[in-house]
Order: sequence, then C-alpha cells, then structure tokens
Amino acid sequence: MIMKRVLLNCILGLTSGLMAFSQQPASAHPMGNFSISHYAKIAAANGDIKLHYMLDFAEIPTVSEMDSNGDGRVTSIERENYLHIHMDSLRKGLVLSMNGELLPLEMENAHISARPGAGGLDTVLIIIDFHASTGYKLLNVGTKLEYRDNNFADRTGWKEIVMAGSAGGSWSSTQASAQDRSHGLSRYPAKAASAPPQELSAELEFHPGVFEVNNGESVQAQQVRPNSPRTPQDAFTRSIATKKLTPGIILISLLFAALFGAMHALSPGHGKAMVAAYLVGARGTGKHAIFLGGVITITHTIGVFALGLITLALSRYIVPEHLYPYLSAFSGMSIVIIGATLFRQRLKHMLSLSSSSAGHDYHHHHEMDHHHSDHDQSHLNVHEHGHSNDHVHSSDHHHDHSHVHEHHYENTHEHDHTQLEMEGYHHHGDGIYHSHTLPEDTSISLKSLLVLGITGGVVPCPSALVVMLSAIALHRTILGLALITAFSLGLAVVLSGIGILVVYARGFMQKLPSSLRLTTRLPVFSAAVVTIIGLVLVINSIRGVS
Amino acid sequence: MKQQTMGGAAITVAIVAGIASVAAMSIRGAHSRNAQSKAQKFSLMSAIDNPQKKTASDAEIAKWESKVKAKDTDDTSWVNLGDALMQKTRETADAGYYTLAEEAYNNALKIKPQSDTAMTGLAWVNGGRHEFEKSIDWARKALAIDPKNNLAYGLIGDAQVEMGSYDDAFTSYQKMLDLKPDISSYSRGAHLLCITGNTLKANWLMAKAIQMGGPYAENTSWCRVQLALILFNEGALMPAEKLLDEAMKSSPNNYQVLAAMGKVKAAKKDYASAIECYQKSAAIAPQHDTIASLGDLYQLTGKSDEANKQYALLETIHTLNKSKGVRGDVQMAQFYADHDRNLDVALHEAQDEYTTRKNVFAQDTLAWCLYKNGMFEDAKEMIKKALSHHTPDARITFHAGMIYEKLGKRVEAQQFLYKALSLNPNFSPVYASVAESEYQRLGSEKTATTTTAGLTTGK
Repeated sequence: MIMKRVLLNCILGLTSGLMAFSQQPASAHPMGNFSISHYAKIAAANGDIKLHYMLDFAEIPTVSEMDSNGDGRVTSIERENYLHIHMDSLRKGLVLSMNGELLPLEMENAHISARPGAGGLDTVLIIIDFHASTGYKLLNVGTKLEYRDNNFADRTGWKEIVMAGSAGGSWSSTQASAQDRSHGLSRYPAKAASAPPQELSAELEFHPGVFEVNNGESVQAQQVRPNSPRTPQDAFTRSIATKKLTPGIILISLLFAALFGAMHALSPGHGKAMVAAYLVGARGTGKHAIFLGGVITITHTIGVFALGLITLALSRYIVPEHLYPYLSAFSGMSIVIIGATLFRQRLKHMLSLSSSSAGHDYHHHHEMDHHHSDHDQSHLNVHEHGHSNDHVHSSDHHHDHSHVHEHHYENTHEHDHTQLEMEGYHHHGDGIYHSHTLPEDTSISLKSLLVLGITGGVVPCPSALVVMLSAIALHRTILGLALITAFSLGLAVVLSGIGILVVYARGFMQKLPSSLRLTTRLPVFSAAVVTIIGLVLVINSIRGVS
Repeated sequence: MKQQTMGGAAITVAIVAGIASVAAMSIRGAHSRNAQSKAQKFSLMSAIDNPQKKTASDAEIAKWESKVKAKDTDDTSWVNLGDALMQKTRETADAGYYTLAEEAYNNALKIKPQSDTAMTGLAWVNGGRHEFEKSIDWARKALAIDPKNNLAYGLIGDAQVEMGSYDDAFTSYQKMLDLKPDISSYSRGAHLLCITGNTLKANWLMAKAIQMGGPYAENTSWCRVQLALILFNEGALMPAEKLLDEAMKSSPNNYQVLAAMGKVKAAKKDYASAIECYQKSAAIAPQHDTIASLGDLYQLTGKSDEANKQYALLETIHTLNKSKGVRGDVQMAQFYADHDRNLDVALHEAQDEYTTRKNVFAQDTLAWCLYKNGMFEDAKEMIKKALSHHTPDARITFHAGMIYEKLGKRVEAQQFLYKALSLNPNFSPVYASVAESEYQRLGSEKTATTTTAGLTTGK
C-alpha cells in the first residue's frame, strides 16, 4: 500500500530499515519492544518431568495479542481472558518426547501478570507449570528427552532452555544450559559476547548422578561448563556403554576397570588414611593390612550392588541422593565410635606411661605440633572425601619433606598428605617403646579390623554406582557385575599395598632414634584423627540431609 | 567393642541384601533384546524429528562469540561478531541488537583504535538508528584510514539517500561499485536508480545483485523483495509474485518477503491470502506498514473490529516512539492523513520530519498532510518537490492529482490521476479506486462542460 516507504527503507542497502523501532529507549523492554521471550526449565522428579514455562510479552505484542476491544489498553480482564483462551494452544505448541515417545503435558497451574514497560504501557508475563508422567520407574543413563517450543518461534526474543538439577541425576545437552541466565526472565544480561540465547528446542540426555558432591567448588566449576554432565564421566563409566561386545573388548574393559579401581583407591574416599592411621597406631602387620584392604573392597563392592538395587527397587519412593547422607552418617558414626574408644584407651595408657618416662629427646616436637594443628583445621574445613591419600608419595616422604609439602598445598585433598606427615613423624619417633607402649592393642582383633574395613568401604563411590546403574539400564547386568568386581579388585590391591607399605615403613623407621613423647602420643593422636574423620563424615552427611 | 559387633551385624544385613540383589539383576539381564530395540528407536527418532535449526546468523553469532570468549584481544573477531549481530537485526527487525553490535565494534576499537572495519560497523549501527550524521562521520573516519573501504562509501550513500541528497548518493555508490561490484553495491545502486526514475536500469542491476547472491539467504531474499516491489510499482504483479515465491523458498519466515507478498495479493484482490501474509509477517516483526495495511484490508472486508485493533496497535507503536523521544514519526503522519485522523498532529509530525530529512518520502507525506489540512498551495509546492525526482510511485502522482484538483487545475489533475492509474492500477486497495472514480468524475465533468452540457455527470 505505501510503496515508496518500502523503497526508501530498503535504500539503506544492507542496513535494515527500521523506521518504527529505530532507537533503543531507556525504559523499554530490554529485548526490543515487540519481542516475545521464552523460558523453559526442565526437571525430573520421581518419574515425572516438570516443565516451568514462561513467556514475556513486550509492549507491542501485549497490545497486539491481548487488546481484545481495540482500545489500545490491556486490562486485567483482557489478560486473564487471553490466558484462559490460549493456554491450551500454548500447551499444544510445546512438544516433549522421551526416547521417541510423546509425553503428554498436563497443566498444573497458569498465571498471567503485568509489568510496567515503556511509554506507560504494560508488558505481560505468563507462567505455566506443566508436568508429564514418564511411566518409567527411573530415568536411566542415556534417557533422551526432546523438547520443542513452537509458540511464537519466529519472533525475536530471549529464548532460554534451562536444565534444572533433577532428583537422581542431571541432564546434558548441547542446546540447553544448566545455568539460569535470565533468572526466570527477570533480567536480560545481554552482552555482545553473549547475545540473547535462541534456544527453542533441545535434546537432553539423562545421567544418573547420585553422588554429586555438594561443595562450592564443584558447583562453581559446573557453572563455568554448563553443558557438561555432573555425574562422573570417565573411561570407566563409559566402558559400560560400549556398543558391541567381543571377548577382547570385555577383557580390555575388565582390565581397565581394575586399573580404574586402583586409581580410584588413590582418589578421595575409602578411608585410606584411616587404614594407615589405624594400622600405624595399632601396630598392624602386613597380614592385617591385606585383610583390612580386602574387607574394604568387599564391602565396597557389596555396597555398590546394594545401593544400586535399592535405588532401582525403591526409586519411586527413595531418591538415592537422599539415601546417601544416611549411609555416610552411619559410616561416620561407626568410625567416630571406634576412634573414640581407641582414643580413650590410648590416652589412659599414655598418661600412665609418661609419668615413668622423662628425659627424652624433644628435638622434633615443636615442628610436629605445628603441623598437627594445621592438620586438624583442614579436617574441619574439608568435606567428606578427606580421608584419602596418595600413598605413592609416602615412601618419598621419608626422604623428602619439602616434596610432600608442595603437594600439601597444591592438592585439594590436602589432609591426606597431612595424614602422611603424621606417619612420617611417627617413623621418626616410633619404635623404641613399641613393645611396651600399647599392650592392649598389640594384638589387633579380626573383629575390629572387620568393622573398620566395613565402615570405611560401605559408602560406594559414584563411578562404580554409575556403572552399576548403566549396566542395569542397558540390560548388561552381568557385564556390570564383572566390571565392578574387577574395579574392586584393583581397589583391594592398592589399599592392601598401602597398608603393607605403612607397616613395613614403620618397621624400617623403628631403627631410627626417637622421642618418648612422640611415640606415646602418636597412637593417641592417630585415634583422634580417626575420630575426627568420622565426625567430618557425620557433619557432612547431616548437611546433605538438610 | 560392643558397638563394633553391632556395626558388623548391620553390615551382614547389607551383605545379604547385596547378594539378593545380584540374583535379581541376573534375571533382568534376560531383557537385553528389549534394550537393543529401544536403542534403535533412539536413532530413528533423532532422524525423523530434526529439531528446529538455528538461523545462519545465530550460528555465526555463536561462532564469533566463542572466538572472543577464547581470546578477547582479537579485534577482527569482535568486528565479525558485530557484523553477525547486525545481520540478526536485519532478520528480526529487533533494534535491540544494535546495542550489542555497537558494543562489539567498540571493543574492537579499544583493542585497535585504527580499525577501519570497526568504524564502518559503527557507521552501520548509526545508520540503522537513523543517526545519519553520525553514520557519515564514522564512515569518513574509516575512509581516512582505508580509502578503499567500499562499505564505508555505501553507508555514506545510504545516509545521503535518507537525507534526500540523491546526487551525492550517486557519487558515493559509484565509488563503492568501482571498488567492489557485489550484491551490496549493485542493490544499493539499483535502489537509487529506481527512486530517481530509472526503472529499467534499476531492474537490470537488481537482477544482477540477485545473481551474485549474498552470504546469507536473507540478503538475496531482500534483493528479490526489492525487485518485486520495483515490478509491483509498474503494475507487473505476475513477475513480482513469481520472484516472491522464489524468495519464500529460501527464506520462508522472512517478514519482508511475507509483507511484500501481502501487498501483491492485495493488489490481485485476493484479500484472504493478503491478510494471511500480513498476519504472518506481523507475527514475526510487527512493522508499521504491515499493521496499517492489515488494518486497511480488515476495513475493506467489513471487519472493522479487527481493523480497529490494528489501528490501536499503531497508536501503541507511536506511543513507544514518542517515549523514546523520536521526532517526526512520518509513518504515523501518513497513517493519520490517510485515515483523516488527528490531522493537525499528522501535519506537525510531517513537518518535523521534513526539517531533518528532505527525501522524496518526507516531501510526499508532508504534501499529503498539507492537503488534508486544506493548505493546498503549500501542498502543491511540496508535491512538486517530490515529483522532481521522477520516482515511479503511483501514490505520489495520485497525491499530486488530488492536490491539483483542489486548486481547480483540472487538466493537470486528470493527467496525474491517469499517470498514477496507468503506472499501477492497483497501487493501493483503498486509494486506487479513489483515484479511478476521481478520474472518471473529472473526465465527465470536463465532457459535460465542454461538449454536451446537461447530460449525465459521472460520479
């Protein structure tokens, strides 16, 4: 109709002829005054998919969509009418499918409200909560969810899909983000280096991640890499998903599983420090070390199986995430009790002994105390995976303190090394009074070793559990069992090895000169450490529950 | 020791549970075939259900965003990001992207103060915002660094066209074309030729631009739309529609293609299709012209309620423009004049516009507003200015005819109306018929007075 206007607009050549919307107003909708912005937050909860859906109409679409009497104003009645008439078509504009099957969306509640915009006009926010029943008991590894928003798809706007943290796991996707960038369309932080997202459809993959560590660090790291899954993903967890199975692949998988178990023994968790502390304090032998490592391994394997099974059986009612803190608390309390008992016995013994043993060499004393106080503090601050160590270093440690100190500050599981330092001091001071310092403990009872091993191994490690659940999801249970057994074997070898190292290193150090106070204090101290480790576990698990 | 035994007992329970679970799992293993079929379903599903693809400009934005995030000291990446954001503005008509593009170009300038491409980008942003003086300033700065910056010449030419300096614009575009004959320079040249009345050459040059193609599908579609509008202006509806069909194939959701198609369909009196096209276009980018045309078509087809909603929406857009401090809302002035509303406001807006931009569109609108306010002599002077460019637009000659009629210059009036109708008999769903009846009336009046007085007078 108005021909030359078009002609003149387009003479701008490859600029665009925006007559009506030429300048960015100070108070207008940040996304342009005819934008419609989208926001979809997808979460899984107890077998249901939850969809929190929002649409933000800027000034112009508010009038063009909702002004039913043509007076240029949108009243609350007109808004409510719009929602009433259109919520079903909005629902139909959303497509959700799981593993290729459509999931019907059911509306839970819908809400429409006005927000002040530019020029005395309103903008409108629609919020609709949907849920879709999956009919599945549990979302498994590789569960695929497809989401598509066909509402106002071609119009400009902020279009965001958020993968919310879901019970029992997390999502990964290349199209959506785990980060809530607009905070529910409440702010639009558009920068040139991060232009408004244009996410209208996304394919999401589920990763059962039961044991996400809730410390600040891992959450922050997650936000930096929003698309990476939260659950541990390494060659071990992936091995279960390998497509074709030949004997060769199975054998390699088993070898890798064992290797990962061995490596895992060196990573946080599993009471390696506890094993060392106990054996050192209790004058364990190589046999004891092997026994303790074995018990931890068997317990761990069974723990993985059991928790996997419980998870599957009770997934409707219990979320593994919730079960985990209780297990930790149980484990922690047992450890506290063992530690406290030992501590009391040894303290009593030390006090009786120190009265009769004066005049000994104190030369390392101050240095040592200093480190110990460091150590205690780190325990209080560090979370549950504190009781582990990199035992490979322990042998170096005897020769080279500075080496260990470096690691002490670089490494996140620092107090593992402090634990080692303690052993180190122990070697300096231990030995001479060995035969008569702790008469009660000289024979370690199998029972106490068993309980200690069980408490140390009862909390399964995330990688192993993911493999277990993946195996069940892919109906490769036998392979899963085999892999976990191999994993545990690897674990056992290393844990026992650590124990043996401790025992023999101590034997070697016995020949060195030492101080009385050191030797008498050390068993007490190790008992205290065991107790503190237990306490840390309990505190952390209580945090996890609340 | 007691506690230890208790702990041991608890563990024994756990062990038993574990063994039971192992047995349960091996039973489940029998369902492995089921799992395989499910796995096949995944791949089938993803093959059928291809998720909506992002547009090319979205991909380009993402590409350069990741580059500047990885290394934010690369000025070229920032410029490329700015260009991609400007392309996004072209596709969405969302001026919000100007802010982002401006930031990107400014970042490039911070890294390399002598970056002529960043300066050209800022000229582009300012031109888009209709800040023509600023646009020319930035483009000249870019040319001071690189005299062979073809796009800078193009942007200067764009600003000159908007300001009505058509001779200067020719010089600028010619320099651009000499430096690089491409889609940008050809299409710009074609437009200037069209505005200044050289339709034939404009047609040929725009066809050449389409042949060359642009980096984005939208670029070529845009040229097709412009050629279709040149053809439409000459009343060649069939070839115009054919061109738009082609554009629709490569850019099905281009609001400009849809609006142009609406215009052609309306000219063919296929109002249902025209309304559909305009609705689709408005759903992507509610541009003033589209909404005004849609309202007029609703009015024409007896849906005055719907028409009034569109007109109310135009008022909303106008309110927003005012709140931004935009002076001279010339589109609204034309709308008011066309619909005999707020004629004093219309005149004021048109005059405001004319003080800053003396282009053919501003001149025509001001003449039309003067006419509606009964200032026929002033209107005549103004429409003469508009006509001086020989722009092949039936509306301008129609306005001239109406103005001359009021001044009692019947012969000239008849000539203008005849020219408008012969140029494009369907130039407007509303005003083509007005032009025709007025022409008939003048013709019969003339006949009545000069030959057979007393015989039937035409309407």
